[in-house]
Amino acid sequence: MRENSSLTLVLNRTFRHWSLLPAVALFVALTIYPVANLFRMSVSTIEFAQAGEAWTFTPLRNLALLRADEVVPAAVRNTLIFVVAAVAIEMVLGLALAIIVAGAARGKGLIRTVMILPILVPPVAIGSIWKLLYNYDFGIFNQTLAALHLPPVNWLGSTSLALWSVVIVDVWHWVPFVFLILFAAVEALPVDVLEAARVDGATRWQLLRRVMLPLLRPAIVVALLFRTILAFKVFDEVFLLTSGGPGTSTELVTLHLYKVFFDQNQLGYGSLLSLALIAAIVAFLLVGRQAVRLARP
Amino acid sequence: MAAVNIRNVGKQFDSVVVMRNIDLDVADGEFIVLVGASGCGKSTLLRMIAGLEPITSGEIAIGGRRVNELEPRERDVAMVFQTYALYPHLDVRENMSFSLRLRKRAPAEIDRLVEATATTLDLQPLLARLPRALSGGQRQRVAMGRAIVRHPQLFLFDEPLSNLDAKLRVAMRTEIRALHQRLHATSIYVTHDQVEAMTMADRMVVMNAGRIEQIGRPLDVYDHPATLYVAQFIGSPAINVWTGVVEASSEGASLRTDHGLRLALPASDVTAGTRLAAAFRPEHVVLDGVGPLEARVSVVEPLGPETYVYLDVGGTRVCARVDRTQTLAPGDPVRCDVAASAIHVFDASNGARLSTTS
Repeated sequence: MRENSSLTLVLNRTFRHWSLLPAVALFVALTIYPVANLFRMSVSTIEFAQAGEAWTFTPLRNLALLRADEVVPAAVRNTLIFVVAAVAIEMVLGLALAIIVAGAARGKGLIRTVMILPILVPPVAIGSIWKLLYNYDFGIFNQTLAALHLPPVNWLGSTSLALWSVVIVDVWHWVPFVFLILFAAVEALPVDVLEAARVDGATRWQLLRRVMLPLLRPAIVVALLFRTILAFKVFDEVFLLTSGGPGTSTELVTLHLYKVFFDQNQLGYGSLLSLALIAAIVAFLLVGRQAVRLARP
Repeated sequence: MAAVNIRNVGKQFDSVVVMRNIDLDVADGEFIVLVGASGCGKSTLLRMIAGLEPITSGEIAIGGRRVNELEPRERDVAMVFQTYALYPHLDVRENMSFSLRLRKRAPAEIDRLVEATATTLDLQPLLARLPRALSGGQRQRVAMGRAIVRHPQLFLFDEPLSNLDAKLRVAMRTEIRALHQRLHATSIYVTHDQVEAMTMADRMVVMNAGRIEQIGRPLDVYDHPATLYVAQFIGSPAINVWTGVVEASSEGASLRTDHGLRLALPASDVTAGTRLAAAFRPEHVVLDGVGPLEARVSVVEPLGPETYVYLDVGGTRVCARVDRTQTLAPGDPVRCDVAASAIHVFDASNGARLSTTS
């Protein structure tokens, strides 16, 4: 045993570290390298010549492009409105549904299954389906309005309405996700504790406000975090629905990014925009976390 | 404080009737224990009184007021749960003051009530702790404190000691009893532990399969069990039961047991040929060396003040409670007797009591 132990020690020390190598290599290849490359691109101008790409180091030029880009302020404004509105509505509806369904006597399994469907539909299909639903001439919404003798609504063509039409689609797409996370959490709430609160004198509202919400907090934070990050990155649905129009009324940072990268071939400037988006998400989450901390008694 | 009146209450889950015709009157300030095996309906009855479970038929009144349609919060009852059910996100002080804060009582009054209750239950040093930082016994006290602080009309206890270790359970049993003697609060206490029922109850309610088998003071129930079920459920070690057929003879009625033994029965009007269950408590088995029953000692359990001796009597096992001075060893042959007056006689088919003697 004694001779063994020193050998084991050496093996442990070296082998333990070397055995991490494949994982580290994979991590570098898949995560660190692309991000590092993104940084490199963001301070460069990349031109495509016939022989291939030509890189020049031009950090100030990309910054100047950003400052001069007139679409960016609209894209940032739209993105913020979209994220805040969509995520807020999704959280409230998802939580309400979770609590209502958890209290149902039967049919929970069926509802849960049905609710998974929107998550399964590819975003591209969602964009296409809703584009048809929203169609001015033959979409089901306007047909319904017509049947009720109401004037048609230009869901996607109106500058004041288009962004909200997009929000509605996102809500349809993601409420089930919030629901599923919170439904599991509501189902796992300790029944005795809720009953104790009822005997202690809590009304339904007090029960929700003072017992359920505090206990659901970890699940709510997870759902909120996921939804916020994903909402910042929304692309395909909006691309198919409006492509940012009319004008810039539904132009989001991601859509603009796409145009800069692929329509304008501005790889360097596009990379800078990407980094700005990542920074914005991180900043948004940090500010949100701080706000929640301050709001706590 | 208030009296509780339960009239003809029934409970049905879908089409399954789990409880019917429950009648129970709890006097103001009384400590009632509902006892029975798991699944007998005692917890369901308690939850129906609390308003956590709707009742299918009948009426429940607390303090003379019909509460059938009232929400739990409108019934002015406090409940202590088996799992304690403390609010995990609130500290002990907030747990105890929760109901008072819901009722928007003045902060100074809330503080006074919480401090007073905390002092009573020795919870002062724990007031700032979260439930997860408390031991099982401490949580149990907080759950008690949360109930007491409200001064409700009625206390409900749902197996509050079942999650404690044996030693703490005995200590808390005494403490709850002492607390009741001080507060004189009407209390309904559910347990599956017949020792708890015997030691704590003013009156106990023995339940079985959704019915009340017997209501009575602990010693009355012990001495005069109304049914074979009650006789077997109450008492530790359990009562000895022999079944057989009645035989008449010149000396009076006796039982010819299924094992071929003969047992003299108390004087009663049982007719020969009837199938009976005769039950007798361990303390009524006399090991005197001259009794009519031949037996052999199989197991000896000394408890200190007394000893339980398990006997093999003609192929059946009988428990006898004897004084510690009686030294017996497994394998010893003994003779024993059971006083006819100490035998409870029940109808073997439905368990109903036939004899009236004690």
